[in-house]
Amino acid sequence: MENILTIENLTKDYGEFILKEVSFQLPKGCIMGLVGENGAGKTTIIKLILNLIKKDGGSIQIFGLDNIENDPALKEGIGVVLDESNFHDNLKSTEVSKIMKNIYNKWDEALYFKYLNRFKLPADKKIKEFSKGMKIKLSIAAALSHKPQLLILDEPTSGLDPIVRNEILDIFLEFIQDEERAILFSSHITSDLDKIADYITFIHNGGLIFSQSKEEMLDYYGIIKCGTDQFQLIDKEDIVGYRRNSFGCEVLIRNKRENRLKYRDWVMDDANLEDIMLFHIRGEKN
Amino acid sequence: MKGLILKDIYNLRRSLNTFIIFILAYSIFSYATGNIAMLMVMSVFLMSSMAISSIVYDDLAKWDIYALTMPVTRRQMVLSKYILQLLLSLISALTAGFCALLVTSLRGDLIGLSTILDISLDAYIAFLASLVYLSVNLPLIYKFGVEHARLLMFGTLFIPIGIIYILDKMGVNLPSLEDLKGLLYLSPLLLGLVLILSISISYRIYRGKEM
Repeated sequence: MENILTIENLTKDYGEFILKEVSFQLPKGCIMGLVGENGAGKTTIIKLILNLIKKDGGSIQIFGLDNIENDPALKEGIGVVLDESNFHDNLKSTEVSKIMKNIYNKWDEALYFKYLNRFKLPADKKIKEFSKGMKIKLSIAAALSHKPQLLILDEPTSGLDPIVRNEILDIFLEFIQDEERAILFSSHITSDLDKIADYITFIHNGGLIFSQSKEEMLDYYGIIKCGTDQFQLIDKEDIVGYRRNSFGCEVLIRNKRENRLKYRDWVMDDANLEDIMLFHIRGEKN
Repeated sequence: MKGLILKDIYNLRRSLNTFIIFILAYSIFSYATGNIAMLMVMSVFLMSSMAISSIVYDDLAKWDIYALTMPVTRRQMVLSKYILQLLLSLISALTAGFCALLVTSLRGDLIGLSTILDISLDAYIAFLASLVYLSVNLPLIYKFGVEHARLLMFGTLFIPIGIIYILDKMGVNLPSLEDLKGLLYLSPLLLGLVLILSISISYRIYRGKEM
């Protein structure tokens, strides 16, 4: 499987915050969720990919080419949606198209207006009259209308209601249907990623916790609910993190399959992405 | 590049409409008073801050970080502001010159070659001044941001005026406009140099900016 994006040992030193040697690959036809709490380094990674800030080490390849040497030509093939609309309030959607037509070689006006129609966005209203959801939809229409191969989304669904979020997620699923394109999707709304992500890359405090397929991840982690006495019996090697409450303990366990046999008589649930994140970040460690 | 300039023109639409109303009002005023010099100076002065206004709009929308995710270079981002101002200064100088000629002829004054030359010269000087103003201020804006550069911009406008005023009061013999006419022939070259210097400083600052 060919990679659309390859990141190796990516490092950025801000002094008070360091992104430390992060590596991952995004294959064609996939959606990768980039998760982590606020300030973990997700936006720093996205900015480095887009050459908006300077890296202090490592390499980034997009479509097999170095992202700095081939900037800005590479950007013809990338669509970007940031966490807010960056179009000026006084512009109208029709004017956005005229501007973009003069920026992107492959701008497809008909496709853009098709998206506007689909999103029910008015062509003749100024953007300042748009709701937050409409603004994000406009950004998505703009990001898709030059037919990019890679879509990079920085928290595009935060602050949107579930209906709009679902509509947007459907668009992303359609986008990768032809198996030639890919999406890097940063979000802390884990339920969105549960729905659409094929891969999860988890960043914490500037370091990579893991980058693997969602299936593998869900297969790997499990949650044991037990009393404090039982907790003492769990092999420390198996514990990722745990939380105590008035009823006992909740423990995130690695190697779920093997440990199902080991802790045969215990209650072991599947863990979802949110559990895995929470236990890694907030759970107590041994 | 064309897309960037188009975006600025859409954003400045309202200011450009104000400019048209202003120039009509000032033309009527000039017709009544016979003073056309002010028409030239004020119209170009109004237009000279347009590129700076466009940067204010870009800041409000957080446009630059978004634009740089597109196939646009940092050099083009900087250059587009200079080209925008060059275009707007040219248009305002031509419009003001045309209005001045119109006002003069409506007043029934004789329009000879010398009148046309005088008006053209006024328009040209106003055009030069607006671009020099931009060339001094744009690097400051790129360095300090529009908010912080405001005070400095105020300084770049009034300090030279203040110095000339003080020198004049001290009895220093300042060169008259007639003396400066020789410089006029050199002015396109000088303006070119000032612009190139300003663009390269602005680009150097902008190139190193982390978005």
